[in-house]
This record gives sequence, C-alpha cells and structure tokens, in this order.
Amino acid sequence: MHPTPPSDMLDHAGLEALFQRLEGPVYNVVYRWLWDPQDAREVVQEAFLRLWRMRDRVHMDTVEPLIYRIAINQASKRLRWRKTWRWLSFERGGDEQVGDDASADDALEAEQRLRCVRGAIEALPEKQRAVVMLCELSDLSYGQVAEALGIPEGTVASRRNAAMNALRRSLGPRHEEVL
Amino acid sequence: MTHDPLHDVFETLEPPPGGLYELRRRVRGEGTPRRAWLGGLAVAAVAAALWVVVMPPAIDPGDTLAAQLACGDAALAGLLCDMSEQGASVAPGHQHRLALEPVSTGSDRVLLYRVASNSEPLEAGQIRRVERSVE
Repeated sequence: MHPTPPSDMLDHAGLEALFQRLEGPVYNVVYRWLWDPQDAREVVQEAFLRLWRMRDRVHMDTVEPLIYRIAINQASKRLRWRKTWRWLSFERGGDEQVGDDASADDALEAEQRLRCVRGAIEALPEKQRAVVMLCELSDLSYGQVAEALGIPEGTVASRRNAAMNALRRSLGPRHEEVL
Repeated sequence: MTHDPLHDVFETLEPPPGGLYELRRRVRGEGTPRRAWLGGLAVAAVAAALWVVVMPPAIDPGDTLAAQLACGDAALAGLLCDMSEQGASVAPGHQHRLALEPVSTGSDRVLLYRVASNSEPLEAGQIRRVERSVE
C-alpha cells in the first residue's frame, strides 16, 4: 500500500491543477520576453516540467512564485541563446510581411501597435520588466513577486512605478498616433 | 474617448491550445528515459565488474620487437589464445623458438602479431596467421 503524500507536496493532480490555473498568466509573462507564441508555450511547458522534477523540494505554499521564477529564468536564457544564434548566423529578424487582402490595413495597424508595445517593453531594463509584468499579469502579491525575483518588497514597488512611468512616456504620444 | 496606452501592453493573450495534454505527455515520458538510463547504467556496471573478474589481464605488446617464447609453453598458449578469433595452434612437443612482433591494427579489440620461428623463418614483411590448438 502506497503512503498518501502529504498535502503540501506536489503530486500529479496538484501539478495539473496548478497548470490549469497558471498556464495563462505564466504564458503572458514569458510572451513579453520572447514575442513568439510557440517559444512562450515551450518555456511554460519546460517550467512546469522542471517544477515536477524538483517536486520533492517544492512546498505548495511557495510554488507560485517559484514557477514564475523558473519561467522567467528560462525565458531569459532562451532569449540570450536566440540573440547569440542570430548573431552567429547573421539572421535578420522582425521583417514579418503583412498580407495583401481586405484586412491589410487592420493587420498593418495591429502590427504597428504591436511593434510600439514591444519596443516600449523591450526598452525597459530586465529587472523592471520582470517586476511590472509579474505585478500586472500574474495574481502574485507584492510579497510573492519579491520572493519570485529574490528582491525586497520595497524594491518591487519602486521598480514597478519606474517601469510604468517609462512605459507611459514611451507609449504616450507615439502610441496615440498609431491609434 | 481616451485610450489608455498601457492597455495594449498588458493585454491578456490566450496560450496555444493543448498545453495540459502536452504537459501530461511529457510528465508521463519523464520517468521512462530516466529509468532506462538507470537500467543501462546498472547493466554497464555489472558488465564492467564481470569484465574485471572474468577476463584475463590485457596483453600489453609493449614496444619491444619480439618476445622469445618456446612452443608449448603455457604462457605462449595463453598469449596466443587472445591473438585471433581462430586462436593459436601450438603442437604439443614442438619446441621451436618464436619471435613475436606486434603489428598495429588501429583497434583495441584486434591483436595482430608478426610471427617467425627458427624452423620456418618468415620473409621480411610477411604476416602469418597462427591457428589454435591449445589442448
């Protein structure tokens, strides 16, 4: 007879429940690093798989900050690898073509808007980006964001404010033009 | 109507479908390769232990040109047993003197010797296969 795992340990059911609850938010956070749906999906999968591998050391009360921490680390790593690869292969990126159909104007507008947003987010220092994305796109409290990023809680608030101000500054006038 | 510029930044996107199914598949597959890997490691460890216990010490041909041995000598028989698949033939009672010269084959598993004896001297460069009859 198998012993029942303690309630604060991660088991199959716990992992799946966690995935169903956090897949979306984690995906949204890492998407702001990678800007590619398949890459973001892959990072989310890898993060949960890593969590599963270390389940013996995981406590359910701290699992949420942990999964975000793993996912952000993985996304940063993948981004560095992608940049290195592009540099080595002289690959050019970001030249997506817009289709020539009836909705071409809409597509072009959406494309321009996305470029503005992406540019503003990528202009943020990575530490600010992590804070603001976790604060706005996850359900983590300031304390949990601090735990996920390994920084003091007060720093979370200051970095969030700095990031929001920077985003407003860079998106304000230019973004309005596009719209 | 005022548009909040930050709205687009934090717009919530739907992840591609099938994530949970994919995670289940990966978690299921997670145990299998690791178990297979551990199993392979165990088999390799047992094989290595058997190799050490059962197999005779490796022959080190060294870099000397020849080892002078008498036919029928137990050491020679043991040596020749490992020399080729067909092994070595040493007729009982023969007491010829042999000269063995290791020849490089590029493989650790193949030992090739140039053999000469005082009864049948070999021409320079000639390589002779030695048949086995250890009994």
